[in-house]
Amino acid sequence: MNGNSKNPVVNGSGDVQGRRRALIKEKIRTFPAMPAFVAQVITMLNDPAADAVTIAGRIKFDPGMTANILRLANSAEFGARRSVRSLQEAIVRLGLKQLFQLVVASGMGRRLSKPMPGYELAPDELLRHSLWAALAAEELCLALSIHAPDMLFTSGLLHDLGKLILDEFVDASKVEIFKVAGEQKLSFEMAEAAVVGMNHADAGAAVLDQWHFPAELVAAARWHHCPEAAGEYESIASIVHVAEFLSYAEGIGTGIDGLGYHLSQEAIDNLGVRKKDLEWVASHTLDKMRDLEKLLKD
Amino acid sequence: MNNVIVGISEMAVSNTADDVLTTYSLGSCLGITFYDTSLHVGGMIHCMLPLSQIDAQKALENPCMFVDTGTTKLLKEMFALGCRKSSLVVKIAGASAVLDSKGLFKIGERNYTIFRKILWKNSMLIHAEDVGGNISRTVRLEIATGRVTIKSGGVEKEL
Repeated sequence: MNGNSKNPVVNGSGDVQGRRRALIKEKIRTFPAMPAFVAQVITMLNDPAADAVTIAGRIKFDPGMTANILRLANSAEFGARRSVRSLQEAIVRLGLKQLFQLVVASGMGRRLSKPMPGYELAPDELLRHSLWAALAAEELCLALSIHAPDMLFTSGLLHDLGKLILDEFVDASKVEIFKVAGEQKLSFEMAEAAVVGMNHADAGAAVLDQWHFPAELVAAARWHHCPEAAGEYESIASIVHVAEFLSYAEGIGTGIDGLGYHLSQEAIDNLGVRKKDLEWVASHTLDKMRDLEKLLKD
Repeated sequence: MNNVIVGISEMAVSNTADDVLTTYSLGSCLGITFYDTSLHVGGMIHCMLPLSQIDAQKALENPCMFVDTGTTKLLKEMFALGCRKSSLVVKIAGASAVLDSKGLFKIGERNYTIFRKILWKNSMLIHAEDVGGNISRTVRLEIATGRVTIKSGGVEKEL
């Protein structure tokens, strides 16, 4: 499946594109699995029989994660009246949804921190962009008084995972991508697909699918630049789309591509986003971002 | 050379000749620099949003987030160091736009408009600017000289 509504062509380069596509597919196939620990905890979180005791029993072997969970449970956000000392108690206070978010964020943090010469992102920039999108997506739901889908935070966090796959290909074809984008008036992800054979949204969705993440999350990644094509998952894809757009507008993780995407007017209309909502979300996201970055720092 | 990084919704003021104030990747945000040519005092702020009225509580906690409260705060700090309006050189960058046909995301343009209004109220002028377009910019202000440079898409130029 291709995350584009149009199919741009690059003249006479069908073979090259096909070869690149095959290379990308191979890279997706051999992409390192989720860190084993994260995968195990996620499996436990999805297991109705697992309780705080079992989950704590697994997490306690990871000191970094244990520290993060305790810190979050004791943070002001959870209105910590009395301090929580045990991991088990912290898990109960946070709830499974928050725990899932934290496990994925801590587990993926290092991978998303790598510098990316292709997209021209400094170390940590993709992580900042991902965290911003995840937080802004939740804040947007608050601003619009709509129910935040369960997988929203994690969808925001992983929406650009495909950039890890495509960075080297984009690096090798940067000039060509911009030429095609300019000549055919294409948004970045369309020119990316036309030149390297796949866009980063599809590449990321393929990895998430391979990791057996929920369909909702895979769809949000696949359609985050074209949410109106996401079918039953249009709502979550639209929220992630607008949140990511705001991140780019604010210059968070903008790289070479950030100001080259098109806003989906359908997403804006369907969600009923107004100018003041965006400004409210931007101001609130910045503060949450600082707290979360501090939490994930070590 | 000592690089002082000014993050989003942050400001810095310096009279240390060795300092270079830097703010990275301005999108729709506005990067404002003031430089007093006689005292060699410089200030920089990276404002995210135009008007503080969107969130009065946030404006109290962090006035630098908004162009209106941020500019006022930066000017006050500079005046406290003895700077005078008449010797301040004003240079700005950022306020770019994303591809949004209906202009919902015109945060950059609004940031710019509000800044001009504030300067106008204070009878001050913008000496140089590099604003708008679909590009991301990094701005540096050298305290020793007052030189302001803009880097965008790998190309650096003086403003």
